[in-house]
Amino acid sequence: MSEAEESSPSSRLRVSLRPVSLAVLVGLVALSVAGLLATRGVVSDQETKLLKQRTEEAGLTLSSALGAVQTQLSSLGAVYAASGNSAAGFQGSAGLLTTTPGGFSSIAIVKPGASPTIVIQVGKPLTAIPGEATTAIATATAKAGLAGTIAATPLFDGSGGARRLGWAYAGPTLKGNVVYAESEIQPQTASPATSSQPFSELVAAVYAVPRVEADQLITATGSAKDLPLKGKIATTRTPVGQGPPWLLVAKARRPLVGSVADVTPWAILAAGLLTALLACGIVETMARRREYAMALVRQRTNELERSMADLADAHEQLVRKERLAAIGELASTIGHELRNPLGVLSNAVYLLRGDLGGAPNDAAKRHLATAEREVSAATVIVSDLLEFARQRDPVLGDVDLAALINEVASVLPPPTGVELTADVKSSVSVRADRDQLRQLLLNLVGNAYQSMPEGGKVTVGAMSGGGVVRMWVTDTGEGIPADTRKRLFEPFFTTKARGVGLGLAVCSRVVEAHHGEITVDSTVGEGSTFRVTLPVVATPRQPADDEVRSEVTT
Amino acid sequence: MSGGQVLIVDDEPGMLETLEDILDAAGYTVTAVSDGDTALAEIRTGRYDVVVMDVRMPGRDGVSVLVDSGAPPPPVILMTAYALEERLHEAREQKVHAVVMKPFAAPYLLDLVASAVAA
Repeated sequence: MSEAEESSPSSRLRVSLRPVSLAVLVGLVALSVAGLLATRGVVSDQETKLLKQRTEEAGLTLSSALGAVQTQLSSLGAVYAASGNSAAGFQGSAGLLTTTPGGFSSIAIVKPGASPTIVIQVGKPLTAIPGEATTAIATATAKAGLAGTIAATPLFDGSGGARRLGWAYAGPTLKGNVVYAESEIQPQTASPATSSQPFSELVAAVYAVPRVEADQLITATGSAKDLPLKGKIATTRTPVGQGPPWLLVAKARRPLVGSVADVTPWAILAAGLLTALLACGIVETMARRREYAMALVRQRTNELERSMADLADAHEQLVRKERLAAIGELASTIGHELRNPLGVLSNAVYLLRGDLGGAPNDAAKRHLATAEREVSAATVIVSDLLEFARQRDPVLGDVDLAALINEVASVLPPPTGVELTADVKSSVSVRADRDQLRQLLLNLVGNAYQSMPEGGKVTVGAMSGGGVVRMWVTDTGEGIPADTRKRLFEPFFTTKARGVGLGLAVCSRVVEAHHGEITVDSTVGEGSTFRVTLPVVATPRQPADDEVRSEVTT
Repeated sequence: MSGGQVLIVDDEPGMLETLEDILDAAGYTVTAVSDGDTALAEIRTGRYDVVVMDVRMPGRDGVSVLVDSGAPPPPVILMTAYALEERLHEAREQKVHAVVMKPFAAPYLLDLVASAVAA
């Protein structure tokens, strides 16, 4: 189950399980169900066995009741025979049986035959022998043998609408006659026989035929609506003399195995399910802990790898920095060493100009101007290189901008055809690093000269106000195209055939170090203006040193 | 243009020679020496109106000469091709007249010398 699924709103309530805990859960649930089924099988078998046993006991009870009926009827026959077929003797004995509650409704001595005739009768008058009784009488007569026997009729509708059951007893003592008795059947009326053991444990129904037939129901111990009995039932056939047997159908009122045995399978299932949930929970917790630990290890490993990569990067940077520093140091040394010869050259050119002063020679003057210009260019390149290589913080002092511009103008005199104008009041000053500002102006003025090979005007200006000092260098040169303007302040960017491209990068760095701003406006063919804005007050870094410096550098 | 006694000190012969010529042409009386000890001895004579001296020289350097020259020394203009902040800081404490970076334009140096002589 993915994280995305877990976090989606529709599945927020769904419990997500790891496959291993799901397997444990499913396995244990299956085991519980199997336990339930197995136990239920055992309990069910036991129940079936007990039910069968009880039902057979009930059948035996019924059998003995039938035996009692036979005994009663055979006694009556004996009384009748002993009295010499006296009606009075029979009536006396039989009368008792018809008045006993639950006893017979009518008893008669009948002469069997195709149409049996009533010899004597007691109890409710029998108007005729019904057809069912004729069959039973014939059966009893035929099968009586020496021991005598009874046969019963199926239930039939007797006079008065009551359901009746007829009994026929034939025996050797009756000398060819038969005792016939009828009982009124009220199936739902409890009798002593069916309200004691084993019937009390059962819902039982007894039918007067060997099958379930609603109108042949002799007695039932449950309510009428339960009939015919369904579900877990047992049956037994009880012989009735020599006639067709009765059917006893029974069902347990309560589980015969006992209620504890009955719920045992469910208890096993419940215990099994609880165990399954518990085990699943434990396994799930362990699985999640393991996942968490693994994730943690992965995360730490990643972090470690990143740290090592960072370390490698840092090392590489350090090596590169050291190499750059070494190159910078070399450049610095060479730059400084070049300043002396450049100084001598500059002096020599100056002297030459003086020497030639008395003898005007156009070619010589032009050559001298070239030499002067080239020495200046070399001076600026060397200074840029030194400034760029050193990358020092500015050392602040009060800088008189009028004097500085003057110095720049004298150090970098305009070439022939170029007119340099200073536009500055003598009172403009700023807290700045004088050497760095000098280099800034040297670069801007030098660039202005170079943009005007045909000559033109350069103006260097400065003014203060509003908490800032503004300086500008304007030329009437060739201008700077827009695409070049964008890259103008990048180190080593140059459009000149000669030059290292550090001049404006140094300017930019100097201005940045003074928390100022440098911008350029330019129109191709008309000229350019570089504007520098510096805050008048800057945080002095070395106050004592600055104070001294301001005194000595002018 | 005013005259004056100028002592120039530099271990670079080329620099020494060209400076001598430039100042000479400008009307100064120039004495050129090429090491610090000689320079110190010259300064102690008290003849000079201004000293133009290189900072970095073998043996005694320009700042050391300035420090040891005694009070009140003549105005000193120090020249340097190197970034020697600590040495220059010391020089400033000795009230150096000016520090110029090499290479410089000759007229600029002449202006400084003139202002030093006038001071």
